[in-house]
Amino acid sequence: MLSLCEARGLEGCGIRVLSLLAVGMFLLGLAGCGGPALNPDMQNTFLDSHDLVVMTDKMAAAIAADPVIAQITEHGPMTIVLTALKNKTDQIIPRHEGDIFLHRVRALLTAHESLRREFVFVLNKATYERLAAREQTGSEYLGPNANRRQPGYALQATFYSDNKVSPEYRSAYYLCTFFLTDIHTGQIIWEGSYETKKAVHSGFLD
Amino acid sequence: MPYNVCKSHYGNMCCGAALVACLLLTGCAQPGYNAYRPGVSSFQPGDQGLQSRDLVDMTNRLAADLLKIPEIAQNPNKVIIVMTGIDNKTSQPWQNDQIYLARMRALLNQYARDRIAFVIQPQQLQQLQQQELGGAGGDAFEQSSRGQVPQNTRMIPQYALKGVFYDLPNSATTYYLCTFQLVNLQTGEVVWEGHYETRTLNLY
Repeated sequence: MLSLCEARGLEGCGIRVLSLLAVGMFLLGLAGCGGPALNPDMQNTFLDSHDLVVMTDKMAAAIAADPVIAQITEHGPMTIVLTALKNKTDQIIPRHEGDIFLHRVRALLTAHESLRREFVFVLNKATYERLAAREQTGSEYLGPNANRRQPGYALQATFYSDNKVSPEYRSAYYLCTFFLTDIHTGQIIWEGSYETKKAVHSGFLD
Repeated sequence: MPYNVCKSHYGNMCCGAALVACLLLTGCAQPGYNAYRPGVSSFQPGDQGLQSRDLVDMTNRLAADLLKIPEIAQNPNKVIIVMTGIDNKTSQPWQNDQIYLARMRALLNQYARDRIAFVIQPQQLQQLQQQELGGAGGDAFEQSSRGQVPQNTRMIPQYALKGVFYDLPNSATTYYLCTFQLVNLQTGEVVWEGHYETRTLNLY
């Protein structure tokens, strides 16, 4: 660059190179800064995998350490069925994505031998009947529900949200509740909750 | 001489480029993940109407108030409550009003299970039993012979927890009155009522 300057005369050269650098930097900057703003996955107000992991860790730990539940499991394992997530948020959560929130709690609660002695999970009735009908093998199949282990408790979850939306701004407060219900009496024997809030402002290029 | 001028220009260019790079880097630095997660009680400039901080403040305060009433504090037994719903009489029918009672129930279930037991509503229980046990209305003989759920095992609630929300919109602000009642299901008496009021700015 020095030799180029010396060869061509210096006044125009410095300005030209500086201009080129500035334009290059500006373009690089646009590309770099524009990326996340154009990518809605980076900045949205939806529940994400971070929420999933934190909330289900919290719920599983709370269930495993709960004194009321411990009193029940002293006399034998709790037989629990999972029910579908009730989604009362403004976010569309497809059925399979809703199931993941409850299924991860189940996976955590059956991860260790000691916990498997306290919590027994059964398939819900419809899934069990479909599976039994598909896999029936002659005399072993005694009809729907004949051999099914009856659940005593249902692990349920309901998600709520409170959203504020404007052209430049969106925020969402989420309240995610999980509760164990005695199927016979209807009593909620345990309930846990997770809450979070997300806010995004629209970017320059959004 | 020309060499010195060029050297000086070259140095200036390098400095300028470094400065631009620093500025761009600072500008491009992405906010951390938590920057998108303000606290649930924090005020956000774009929020309008009843906000999450109202929800949190209101339910924290009223849940604590409810536990002080003699029907609960001095009751030797657990008080059995069913949560009914919010009667939304505000001018915003879209608002997800059930979230208020849901948070109150979650708080009471987490901190006062020695004094309060919540039961789900009869139709919800019936649906759950129908789905998972084959239905309370099934063959009674078959159910009893297989050790299934006997009829009418539902825990009967003594009280219902409900709420009514009102608002009074003006041009610049909106006033909200959020009330909650605990009703004795035997007598219809409102044994407790708590309220929360606030006024919010209308942003256009």
